[in-house]
Order: sequence, then structure tokens, then C-alpha cells
Amino acid sequence: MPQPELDKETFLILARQAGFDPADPHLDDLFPDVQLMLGRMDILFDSPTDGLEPGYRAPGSEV
Amino acid sequence: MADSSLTTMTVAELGKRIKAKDVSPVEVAEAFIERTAATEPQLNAWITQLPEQSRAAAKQAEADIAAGNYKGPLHGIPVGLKDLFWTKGVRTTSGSAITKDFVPSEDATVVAKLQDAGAYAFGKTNMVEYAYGGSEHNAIYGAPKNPWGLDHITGGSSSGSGAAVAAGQVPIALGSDTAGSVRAPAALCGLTGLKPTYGLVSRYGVSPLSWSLDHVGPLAHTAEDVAIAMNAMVGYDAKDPGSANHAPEDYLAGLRGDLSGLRIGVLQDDFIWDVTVPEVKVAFDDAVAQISALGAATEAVSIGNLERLAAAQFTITTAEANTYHHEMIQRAPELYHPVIRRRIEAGFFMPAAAYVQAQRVRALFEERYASLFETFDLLVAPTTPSPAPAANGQGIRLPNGEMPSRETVRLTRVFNPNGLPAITMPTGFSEQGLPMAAQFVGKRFSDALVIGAAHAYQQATDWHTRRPSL
Repeated sequence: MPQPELDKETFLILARQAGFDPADPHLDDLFPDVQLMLGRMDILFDSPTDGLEPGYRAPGSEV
Repeated sequence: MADSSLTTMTVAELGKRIKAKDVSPVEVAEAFIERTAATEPQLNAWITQLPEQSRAAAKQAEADIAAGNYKGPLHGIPVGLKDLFWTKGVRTTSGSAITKDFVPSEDATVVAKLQDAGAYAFGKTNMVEYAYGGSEHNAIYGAPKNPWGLDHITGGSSSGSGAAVAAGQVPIALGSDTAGSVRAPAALCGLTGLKPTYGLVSRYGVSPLSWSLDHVGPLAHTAEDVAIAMNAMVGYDAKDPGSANHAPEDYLAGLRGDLSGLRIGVLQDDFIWDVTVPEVKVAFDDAVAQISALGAATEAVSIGNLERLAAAQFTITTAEANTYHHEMIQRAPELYHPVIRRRIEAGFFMPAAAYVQAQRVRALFEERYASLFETFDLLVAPTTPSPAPAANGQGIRLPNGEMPSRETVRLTRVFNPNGLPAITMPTGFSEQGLPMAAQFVGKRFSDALVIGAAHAYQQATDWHTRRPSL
């Protein structure tokens, strides 16, 4: 299921929590990158991962 | 005047001549120092050059060999080190203004291992800042130029390593590969480059980008040179939490003259071919025909849903890179390249569930790859969707549009999350005279087979023997 789209207002709230100054004009540059990042992740939640635990076999294991 | 012909030779050729005492390590060092001095103003491949240290190391190698203490094919060979490998007493910048004065007190394990085999650090190569990108660069060191076309990118992030080896400034170099940062610059610069199995080569003393995706590998002219380097580089290292305790192998013994008896899956995924330019496809089809002629049984196959695995790779990198840079980027954000800065800062906004789900997708593809490698010994695919894009900021030109140049790692990144060994080798040249490449991919710890297959291909082709006219 796709994640809900991040609006600017929510982004600024999250930015403040992350330690940014919400008045910093740099956030205007960062916002589209964050939206792009979240958009690229949507497909992960459409993957058939039922029953799979997160993880990666330990190094040394043979495929 | 040094013998310039030495700078066109492979490690294997130089090693044989040094062993036979046809040439001394000092002559080899002088040839590469002279070549670097002549070409570096055009290329910008190095952050730190070490000519005096190289001369001293070569002199020591010469004395050791004269005294009967020959160490093997790397003895007296200069190696370029991407500037994120720690070098004792030599600054290691990671391509960043933040760490521009960092001088490690010890060598990375892999650097020490190469030195134990008789090689020496020729210098520290240029790179994308903190290895975080396929084409972007850094504020203070600039971008290297591609020796095959100075107005084209080298690919990254091991950009200087690619440029330096291709230009004959050094016969071999090390890089790191999180999404394709060894294979993409090797491919775009006409070289052979290996991303080994995850954990096979120690990452201790290698500044991280993404702990669970970073691999250390060599860029060289040939698969044989890659095998020589791997014989020295591989080994369990308790200082690397990801190190694999795998029995040592002789990678030179794995070199083969043909591909008979091998089953090779030729990847057909739309994820690959929807963005691959026609001339790369023509070169790839020719390579597959050659692979068949060498005795392999080839069969078309798709991995399926690669966009999911690419998203998982992207997500894991974003989260892990943000964690590594967490404190530094809050303290001095202005010292990062603007693109790299935003890429790292975006990680502050990643939901925890996305990182966990990316790990589940990673597990999903463990099953898919395991299934594929029950049927196939190797997979083969193009390494990059196009030859080197122009360095003017334009992206990758496709028949139906354009794609950002960071997508030069689109076809390589899908083999990082599962730690599979993958080697790129040149398969031809574009109309513009730029290299094109394909990659063999194997199951974990089949590195000898992967390298051996590339060697067999190179016994039947001459793309890897060509050198740019600089």
C-alpha cells in the first residue's frame, strides 16, 4: 500500500523535530528530495513479503 | 626519460618482467610517475599523489627482489587507492571538505594486505564525496575526466580510480561499490572491475557509505589482474563485523580458456532493457554470441520485479548513510556538496517501516536468486544503460527521452543487497569511441568462477587491450 503523500506543512513539522530551523530556506530545496525519496519507497510496500522476516543471511552463508 | 610502454601493460605483464628482472620496480615507478605528471592536468584523477613515497617503496622492492625475497606478481606494483581507504600517515579525505585533514594512524586491512604482497600506494584517487553517488562530485576536488572522452563523466563513485587506470597513470586501483561504484566507472572507462562477494574483502579502515551494502574491489585492465589482486586482498578480518570466514582460494587457478559446461542466464528484465540504449544492446548481443561460442549454454531469463530490489537498495543506503553522517551533517551541513547534503538529509524523514520493509524485500530476493542459481552458474547483463554521459549536466540520452546520469548505476545496484559477486568487462565501443560493458554475476563465493568467466571472454576478444589516446 502506498504511503500517504507528505505535504509541506507536515514536512516542516517533521523538519523541526529533526533539528532543522523551519524558517531555513534550505528546506525549500530539501522538500522535493524528500518527496522523491518517499515516492521511490512506495513500491516496497507493494511487494509480496507476507511471512518474510526482515534480514539478510549472515556473511559466509552460501546462496 | 622513462619507458612509457610500461604504462600500457597489465599487472600480470609488469609482474612477469619484474620477476625476470627485465625491468626494475624503480623503472616501473618512474614510468607511472611521468605518465601521471603528463596527463593529470587533463584528468584530475588524484586527490593526493605520492611520488616520493612511491620512489622509496619501489627502491625497497628492488632491493628485496635483488636479495631473493620476491613476493609474487604484485611485488613492485603501484596501486591507486580511492581516497576513502585509510593510509597510515597519509590524509584520507573521502572526497570531502569535512575530512580533508584526516590522517589515519593505521592502514585499512586491504591496503596492508596489498603491501604485504609487495604492492605500494601510488596515491589517493578522486571520488564522489563520501562515495554517495554515481556522477555527482565534491566542492573542493572537482570531477575527474574520462580518458576516452574528456567531456564525458567517468561514472562513480570510484571516479578517479577509473580515470587513473584507464589513462595508464597506474595499472590497478581499488574502489568501493555500494550500488555500482566499482563497476560503473570501470565500465565507462573501458576497464575490468569486480565487486566481490560481500564480506570476502575486509572493509576495516574503509570509510563507510552503507555498512550492509559496501563492497571493496579492484579496477584493472583484465580479469587476470583482478585475480592477482584478489589473491592478496581476500581474507577473514575480525576487525570487520561483516567479514566472511571463507576458505582461501587461488583466483588465478580459476582462470579458464573457455566457458564449456557453464549455464548462463541472459537477463531479459524490462527494468534493464527499457532504459538501455541501442548500441549497448548491440554490443551486449555480440558478447552473448561470443559467450555461446566459448561453449556456454545460454538461456534467456528474467529475475523479475527488479524495481523493488532497486528501491530496497536505495532505501537501505539512505537510512544507513544518514545514520553514519547524523552528527557530522548537523554540525557542518554547509561543508557538504549540495546534492550529497540533500541526499543524506532526506534520510531524516524516512519512516522506520520503510527500512524494515526494504530488508524484507532483500530477503525476498534471497529466495529468488537462490532459485536462479539452481538453474544457472552465472547471469549476464549490461553494466550500464549507456556509454559515459556527457559531463555538461545532461543525463543519459534514451531513444524516448532522458534519464538522470545517476542512473548509470541502475543495472549494477540490484546485485548489492544480496552480496553477489559481479564483474564488469568491456564489450565494445560506441560510435563516439566510448567503452561499453557487460557484467557476469554469480552466487555468493563464486568469485573465482565470475573472474574466470570474464577471463575466458577476454581470451576471445580484444576490447580490454585498447587504450585511450591521451
